[in-house]
Amino acid sequence: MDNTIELPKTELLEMNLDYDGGQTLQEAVRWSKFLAIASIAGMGLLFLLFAGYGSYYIAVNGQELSSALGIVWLVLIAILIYFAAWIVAAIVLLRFSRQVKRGISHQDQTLFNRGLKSLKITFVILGIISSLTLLLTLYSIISTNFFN
Amino acid sequence: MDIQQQQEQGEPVNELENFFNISFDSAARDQLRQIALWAKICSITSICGYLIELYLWLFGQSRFFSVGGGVLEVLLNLLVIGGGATINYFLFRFARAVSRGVQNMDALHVNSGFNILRLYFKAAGILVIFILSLVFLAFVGFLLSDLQRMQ
Repeated sequence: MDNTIELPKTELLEMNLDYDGGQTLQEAVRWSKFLAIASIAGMGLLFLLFAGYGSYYIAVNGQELSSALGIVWLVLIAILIYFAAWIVAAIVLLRFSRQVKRGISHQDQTLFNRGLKSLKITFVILGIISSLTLLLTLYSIISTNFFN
Repeated sequence: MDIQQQQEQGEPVNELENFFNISFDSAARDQLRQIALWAKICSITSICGYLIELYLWLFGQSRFFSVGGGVLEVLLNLLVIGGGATINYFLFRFARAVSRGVQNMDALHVNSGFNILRLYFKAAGILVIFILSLVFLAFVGFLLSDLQRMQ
């Protein structure tokens, strides 16, 4: 009598989230939730402070800066876009934590995969922000050392 | 039946059961591959940025945190540059572990990658609190000095 159990090949090759991995992922999710909420609150506050103070500064010193007003507005808008990108990344990170947590507790593979997609989007936004920051730093170093 | 429902109905909860039902299928592996790629880009560019900031702080004229020299400046620079580089090193290790795990179909590497991701989020969370409170204090100080100057 043949007692061997035949498993489909795909099942044999399947990678599973083990107990330790699941536990650490749940803790990672908790910390990412905290990080996302702290970032949203902090960046939102900074966004409001810069928007408020920037427009106030331009209103008070607008006549003195009349020649460079365009550049000041441009810099202000760039800073606000920078903060907005951080806020979007934090919101997507919050979505990741919610989806992965729910995916594990409801044993829902689709929700878990959606959570991973949210994490990917977070890292895409962070990657673009850090690449642009690096390029700007290099540009400022080159312009101050070679063009002045 | 999920854990919450089991707890509500007073049934014993076996968390092990839950984790084994989540697998890294082809869609998840594809997402993990892209997560690893972008995490690597993010960590490498950030570490390069912090190295440039370190060089500028030590040998250059412009400074990332210039507060008149002294212990405060050293502390701020160490906190931002050292802390930032450390968390990005965690991110790089996470990316390396996950990409190796996905490439070799090895769940052990992917699961250890999640452990490093936990450390990354933990360290980043603590650093964000420090930096946001410092930036907020600096902004309030700048605002007060500007108001005093105008009066």
